[in-house]
Amino acid sequence: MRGLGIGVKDIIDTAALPTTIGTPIHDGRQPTRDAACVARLTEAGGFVFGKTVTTAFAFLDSGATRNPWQPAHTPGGSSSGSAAAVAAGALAGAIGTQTNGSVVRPAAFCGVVGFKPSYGWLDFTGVHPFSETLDTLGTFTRTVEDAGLLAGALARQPDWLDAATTPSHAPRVAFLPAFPWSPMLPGAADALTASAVQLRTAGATVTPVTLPDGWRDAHRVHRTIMLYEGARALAAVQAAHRARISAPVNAALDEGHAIEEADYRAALTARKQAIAYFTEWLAPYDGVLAPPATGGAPEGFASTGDPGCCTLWSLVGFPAIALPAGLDANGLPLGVQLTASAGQDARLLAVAAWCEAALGWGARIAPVRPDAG
Amino acid sequence: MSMSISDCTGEALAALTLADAIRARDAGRTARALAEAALQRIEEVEPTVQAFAHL
Repeated sequence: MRGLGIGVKDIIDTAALPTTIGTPIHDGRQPTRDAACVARLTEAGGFVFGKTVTTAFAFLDSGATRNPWQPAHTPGGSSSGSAAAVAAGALAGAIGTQTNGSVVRPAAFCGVVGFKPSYGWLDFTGVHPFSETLDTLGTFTRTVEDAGLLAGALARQPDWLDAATTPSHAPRVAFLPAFPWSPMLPGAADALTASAVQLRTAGATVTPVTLPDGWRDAHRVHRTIMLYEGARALAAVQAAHRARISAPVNAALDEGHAIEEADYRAALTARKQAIAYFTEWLAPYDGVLAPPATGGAPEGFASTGDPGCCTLWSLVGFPAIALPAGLDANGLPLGVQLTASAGQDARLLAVAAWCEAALGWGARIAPVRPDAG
Repeated sequence: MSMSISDCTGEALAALTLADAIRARDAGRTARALAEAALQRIEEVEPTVQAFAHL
């Protein structure tokens, strides 16, 4: 990484630049120490090129960032600036975080590779927390090789780069075409199926699967944990600055405060059961192929899009990677999401490298044009 | 991506992947040249994309 400048999401503490967490409440906030992941980056010879835009508190409100492919569309969130900077060719790599869908979804919306390693493999110390059970660091790059390089450096896992440069044998892939809580948009399902066919034609074994009946409400388990913990992580700032926090964020945090501890504990237990169940469910496969989002990036900035296609893998802490696969009718990127069970990050990168070659997107840069709107 | 790493300049340098940037560095390009190319690309796209909070 020697001499390479990396973008760092603005909820990650940096001693050389402010960290303002996407909100004017923290204007001028200047950490005195680097977060652990920034220290790892520096140790590997890299440096912080700039701080990238985040939604406020890495949560719901859109920031200033526009989608480099179509500036009237959201880049996704919450790691909006990290995804857009890499897509626009401003940087070759950036760091973000995911609590629900904040790496995989913006990567898909911006047509780049978004890699969320297994929960806990990248040190979250010095990163503004939202949900300690779910918060995970991740990377944005234009190739799987670069994902192995950057994430491997941050995790001190050199075998991730080896895996990313050594594509697997033709993989056995479970094909999960949708998540029941996030219906696919018209056209997106067909595009995902076309990607699955492309992989099968290239030699992969693609087995259609559906989400087991017992886990069709897994998104509710995730929501209980995320909002219970988020409400408590942000309790002091909400109490002091409620009027400066958006209505949707206040409402979500209020919902989190109202969750009974018993329900939270039950959700944590359900999460453990989900981890055990899905580890076994994935065992016959090298990975699961699923949508990274319900479609291309939505127009406008009222929201950063539906994160639901990322929720299950964030709940169980499995590694997930978004790969670009094509463009929709509006010229916006569409992609695929690959997942493996916890700790299988190297294997996932090898499978992703194989799929990247089969999908044939390459390392494209968005043709940034001024916003006509 | 394939390009002649030792020859590329400006926009082409900015378009390098991390792995290509390492190869460019190993071929004699300086970290400063890589950073200047990135800054030039940022100047071009940042008014539209607004990806950075602090530079």
